Amino acid sequence: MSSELPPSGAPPSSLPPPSPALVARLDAMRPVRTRRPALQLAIVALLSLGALAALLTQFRPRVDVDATAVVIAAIVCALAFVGELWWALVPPRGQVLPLRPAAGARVLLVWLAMLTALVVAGHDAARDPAFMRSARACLLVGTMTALIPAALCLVALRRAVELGGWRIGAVVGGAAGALGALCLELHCANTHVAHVVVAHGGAALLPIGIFAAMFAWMRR
Amino acid sequence: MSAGSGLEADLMARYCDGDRRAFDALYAAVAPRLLGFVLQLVGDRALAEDVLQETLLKLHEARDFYVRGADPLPWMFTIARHTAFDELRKKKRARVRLVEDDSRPPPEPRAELSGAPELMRANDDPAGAEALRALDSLPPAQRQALLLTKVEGLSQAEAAQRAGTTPGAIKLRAHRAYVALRKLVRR
Repeated sequence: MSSELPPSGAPPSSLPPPSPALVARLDAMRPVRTRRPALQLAIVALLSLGALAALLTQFRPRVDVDATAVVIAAIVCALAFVGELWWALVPPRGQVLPLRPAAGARVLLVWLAMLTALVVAGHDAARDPAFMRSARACLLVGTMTALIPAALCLVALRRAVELGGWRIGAVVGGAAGALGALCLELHCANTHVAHVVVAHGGAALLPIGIFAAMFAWMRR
Repeated sequence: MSAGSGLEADLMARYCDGDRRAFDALYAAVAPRLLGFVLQLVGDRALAEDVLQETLLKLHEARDFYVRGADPLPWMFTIARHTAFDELRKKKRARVRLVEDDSRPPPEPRAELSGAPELMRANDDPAGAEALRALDSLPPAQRQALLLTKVEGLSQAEAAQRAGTTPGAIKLRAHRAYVALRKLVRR
C-alpha cells in the first residue's frame, strides 16, 4: 500500500502555532528510546515460556499418553503462540502500529487449527467422571497462564491500546490463549475429545474474548 | 516508502532524538494535512484546531512508541482520527445534556462543512445547502469515507490508509453514506 498521502481536500488557510502546553513539553524534551518490536517479541516470548516452564515443574507430569502426539500438538501451540505474538508486537513493514487486516478472522483461524491439532493428538480415553470439575480447573489454569504474556504485551503496547482497540486485544488474547493451551497440553492427562474441545479449546478462546473486550473498553 | 514519507520518517527519528528543529520541520510538513483531515471529520475550524493540538500532544507523549524507519503518517492520522472522534463524542454528550437540562431542541446542523468542496459550500444554492446538511448528519466514519473517495478522489487503498482501516471497510462505509445521503436528499 502506498504510504504517500496527498494533501487533504480542504487545506487550511493558516496554521495555528503549537499550543503553549506542547511548547512547554518541547522545551523540556529529552531523547527517547524508540520501540524495537523484534526485541520486545524476544523478551515477551522468552519470559512467557520461562514462566510456563517454571509453572509446569509444579504440576504432575503426563505419563499415560502418546508422547509423539503430545509433542506435535505442543509444537503447534508453541508456533501459534509465537506467530500471534509476532502479529501483536511487530508491525507490518514500514508501519508503526501492529494492526493487521482481518485480525479477528486470523486469530480464530489459528485457534481452529490449534484445536484440531489438540483433538487429533488426543485419544478416546474413557470419559472422566469428574469431567466438569476438571474442565473448570483446566479453564482456570489455561486462563491464568494466558495472563503472563498478556500482561507483558500490555506493557509493550500501552501506547497502542487507544489506537488499536479490540483488534490488538484479540491478537494479544490469541497469543496468550495459545500459551494457555500449550500449558494444558503439557500438563492435563485428560485427552477425551469433549474435554479437549470444551476445556482446552475454551482456555485458548476465552482470552481472545477477554482481551478484545478489555482493549476495546480501555480505548473508550 | 515514498520520498515524502522518507523525509517524515527521518524528521520523526530526529524528533525522538530530542531535536527541536526536527519537530518544527515535521510540524510544517504534517500539521496542514492533519488539520485538513480533522476538519473533514469535525466540520468546525476551531474544534479542528483544538483536535490538532491534542493530537500533537498525544504524539509527543507517545513518541517512544515510534519504530525507526517506519512511515509516521498513518500513525499520526490514526491518532488524529481517534482524537477527533473522542471530541465529537464529548460534544454530542454535552449537547444531549443540554437538551435534557433545558427542553429546547438541539441546534440546527451547520450548513457549512469545511471538508466539502467549495462549489457545494455556496450558501445561496439551496440544493447545495441541503446536500451539506445531509452530509453533516452522516456518522463521521461514513462522512469521512465519502469525502475521501468521492470528493478527494483517493483510491480505496489510499483512503483506507488515511482512515486507518481496510479498503473493504472504506468501500462499505462510502456505499452506506451514499445510500443514506440519497435518502436524506430525496426526503
